[in-house]
Amino acid sequence: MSSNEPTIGIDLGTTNSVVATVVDGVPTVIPSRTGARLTPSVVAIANNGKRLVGSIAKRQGIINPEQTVSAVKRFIGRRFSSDEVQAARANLPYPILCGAHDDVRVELGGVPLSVPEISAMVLKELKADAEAFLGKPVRKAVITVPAYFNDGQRQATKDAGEIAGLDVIRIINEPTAAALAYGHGRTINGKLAVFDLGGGTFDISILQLKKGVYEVIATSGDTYLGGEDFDGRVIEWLVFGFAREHAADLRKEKMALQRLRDAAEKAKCELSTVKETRIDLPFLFTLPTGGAALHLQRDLSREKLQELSADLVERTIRTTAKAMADANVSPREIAEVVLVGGQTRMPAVQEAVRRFFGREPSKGVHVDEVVAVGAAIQANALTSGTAEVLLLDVTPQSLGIMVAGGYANVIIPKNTTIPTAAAHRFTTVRDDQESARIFVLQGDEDEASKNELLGEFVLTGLRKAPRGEVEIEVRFDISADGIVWVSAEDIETGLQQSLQVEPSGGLTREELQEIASRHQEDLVAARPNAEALARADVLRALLAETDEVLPQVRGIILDSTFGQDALAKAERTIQRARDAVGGADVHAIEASGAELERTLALFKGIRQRASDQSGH
Amino acid sequence: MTGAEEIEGLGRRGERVRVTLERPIGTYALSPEEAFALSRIVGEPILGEALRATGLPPPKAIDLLRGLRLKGVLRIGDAPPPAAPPQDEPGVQLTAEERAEIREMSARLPHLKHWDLLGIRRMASVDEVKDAFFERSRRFHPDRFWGRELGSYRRAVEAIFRQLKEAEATLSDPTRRAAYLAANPEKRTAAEREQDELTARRRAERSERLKRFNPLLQRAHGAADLASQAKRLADEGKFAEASATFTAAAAKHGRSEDLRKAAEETAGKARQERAAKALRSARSAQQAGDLAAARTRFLEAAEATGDPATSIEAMGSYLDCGGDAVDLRTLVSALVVAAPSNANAHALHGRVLLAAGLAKSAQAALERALRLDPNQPFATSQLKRKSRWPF
Repeated sequence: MSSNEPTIGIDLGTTNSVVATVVDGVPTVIPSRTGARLTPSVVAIANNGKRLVGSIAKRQGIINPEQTVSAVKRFIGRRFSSDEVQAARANLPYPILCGAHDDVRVELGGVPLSVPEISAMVLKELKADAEAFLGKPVRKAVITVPAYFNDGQRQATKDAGEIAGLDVIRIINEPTAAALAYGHGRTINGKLAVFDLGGGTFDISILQLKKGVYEVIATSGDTYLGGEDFDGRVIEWLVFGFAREHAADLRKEKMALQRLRDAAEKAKCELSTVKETRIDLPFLFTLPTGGAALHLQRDLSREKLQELSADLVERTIRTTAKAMADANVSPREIAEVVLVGGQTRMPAVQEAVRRFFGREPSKGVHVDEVVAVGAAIQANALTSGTAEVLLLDVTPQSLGIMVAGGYANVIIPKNTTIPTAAAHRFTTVRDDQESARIFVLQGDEDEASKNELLGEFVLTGLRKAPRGEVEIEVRFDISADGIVWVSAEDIETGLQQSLQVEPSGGLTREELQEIASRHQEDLVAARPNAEALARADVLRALLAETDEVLPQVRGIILDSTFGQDALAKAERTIQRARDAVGGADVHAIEASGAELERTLALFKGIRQRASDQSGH
Repeated sequence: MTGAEEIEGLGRRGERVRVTLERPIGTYALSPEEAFALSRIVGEPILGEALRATGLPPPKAIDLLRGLRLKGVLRIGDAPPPAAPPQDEPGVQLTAEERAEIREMSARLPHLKHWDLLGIRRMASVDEVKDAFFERSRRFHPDRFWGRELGSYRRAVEAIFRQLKEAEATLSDPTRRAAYLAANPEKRTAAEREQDELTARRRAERSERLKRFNPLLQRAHGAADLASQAKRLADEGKFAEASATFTAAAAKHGRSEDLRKAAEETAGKARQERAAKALRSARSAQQAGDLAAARTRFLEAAEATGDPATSIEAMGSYLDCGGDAVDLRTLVSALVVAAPSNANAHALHGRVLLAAGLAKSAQAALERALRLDPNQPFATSQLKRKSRWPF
């Protein structure tokens, strides 16, 4: 179904954004109305109350740091109380607040705005640029996100698009988009690695290419590792140097910090081409005690920068190695390595990539523009209906549900090609359980509370039966657009309940933990596996032994003047073990087994002492 | 009675029962009771309900349902095969060809083996699997129909794509592929089997013809024949003959290092065998008191064997039977060269040299034996008596 409606691809970056389109089959980057190809992802309210976006906003940032918002991508779809947000908050020149649902709000011009609203301002700007370039209204857009973004972050990005008046036809992963752009007009058959170190995030994807089909084999990343962290290292170095020299903390001075930030970024970029650069910030700071303004002047060498950021580079390589292991691909098998993102201009990064893959990374793509170009290609491929290009993408993180004991039970493992569907059977945890609460989780951690909670629903009206007898099938469906559907069905009665997963927002890890314990009784349990059954046997033997020892020890303890509380504690331990022994939770069985063993050893010790004493 | 309870031969009580009539009911050989039980099954009840619905005592009902299942009238448990979407579903934005393509694949999906689904050979390479998967993905990935209303066709397309991915994943992984191949043995039709036979016969004829007319092939074939004959002989334990045949094969082939090595190996085995035989008959002669015969056989064994220990043992026995040490000079010097670190060999050498009257060389040999093994009995005893020797 071909349409003449234009489509665009947008790389909504942490520091810079790019918009591209396909004109007569040729992908083209759309310059802004001022002629720039990159638009800084910066929004500001100027002193005269005007809203500014892009390079104008960035330029006035130094004199107006509190009303200039940058790098907002770091907060999109995140909870205010999350560690990441709290950590980033310390170095932020602009104020952020906690929204009603624990979402992040940015105060701009006295109004608290949600993160998607801020992103939407940037998107609106790009949309206007595209409309000026194409000479007609533009609605349909593909927006890219880091591969490792979770469902909530994707949804929030989509929301930003809708707020900006765009019809977001697909959210695709940045490295995948880069691969699409790299493969455009080239004949590549084989495996391709995309190493994407952008302003705020790091992504690695391994793809298999053949005749226009791009299959993602594995993807991994780190949503908190990017160019900004490299800048941060330089800033830190400057701040500490300054503190040593003048005993003053530059970080307290917002304007100084903004100048430091700009200077650090500039110096870092320069060191990609020169060996040494000078950071020169005159009249930077006035001591609270008064006196003349202090200058900052330091030389930064390429080696020093490498030394400051060595662990960051190392982290990218570690993540890469893990992704390769997941894909069961050795570095040798990779036919091409594509570098994406401004930070990959750094020689130390290129060297690390070269060493890891044992080959020269491919040149010939524009590291800043390639993602937007790929998004434009995908937008064009979808709407043109010619299927010249087909993307087979994967789920970046595992999906599952929370089961009794507070553990996550994976239903769709990460790196599964979408669209996909899978089902697992679960069972009730207590007698006559009439409802089951299904918490849908995303992430790769064993403990449910360490994963992202995507949503929850309740399956009510279950048949009354002893625990473990009602079987519930939980089914996940992921469509080609990455939208997750979850349904749960009571196998016997056919009773069904389903939901389309939407970001739950507003829940902290603590709350999730709290929910986990509060709804312990309403959860479902994994059916006992062989390991659980084997461990349960061991536990049963321990229980039998305890039953034998306990009456003897009870007498001894009751006769003595101490250790009364030990008895109560032991009884609680025994009760816990009895609860665990019938269940399917391997962790619980193991834990209560260990606990019981300790109790038993203690009792035996008491009994031994008692018999020794009576012997004397 | 619970949903998880297993009913032998049928499945779990909670599983669904589906009627799967593929032909008119008259063509199935059903008993009247079975037909009655079948008539009670309405819709897709769970097994427990289906049994109750017959109104018969449970053992009887279970029996009947088992029979129906065996006759292929019922299916229990498996998810229903996704029905092909209706051709004239309203509101679906697909062309007639696209509908036909999806409907056809949907209908065949449950019966297709992975290779048939991908349209490749059973033994296709991993690259071919990938290619076929990519080609089919272009046709059945939902993105091909992006932006169009698909109605129930959407589920159908997604199911096909999932199955394609499953097929690709299974056939690309050696372990999973082997398991799948084993679970789905090749079924050849009579015509195909006939064809296979014909091909095999033709191939045999052709190679026969080539053997006859191509001198190079002829020679190679001759060598191959001889080699396989030799192998058979070796397997039968006829090492001497096998060795000779291997040598002949090597000569015929001209350049085969392997054949020559095989010839040597079998020759060694043949010698070993001859030595063992000689040793056995020597021992029996010794026991019978026929020392002369025993001596000849011991000497033969010592000569034949390639194993130093056997050789030493045979020569020792030869001397015990009253043999002349001087006869052993050549054999024992060869032995010392072959096994320079064997103390017993040096001791025996000393003994032979002593008997031959070469006292100095004997002493050197015995000392060497002692260096290698300080407890070597003959050497210790001789060197202890050294003072009494007229050296």
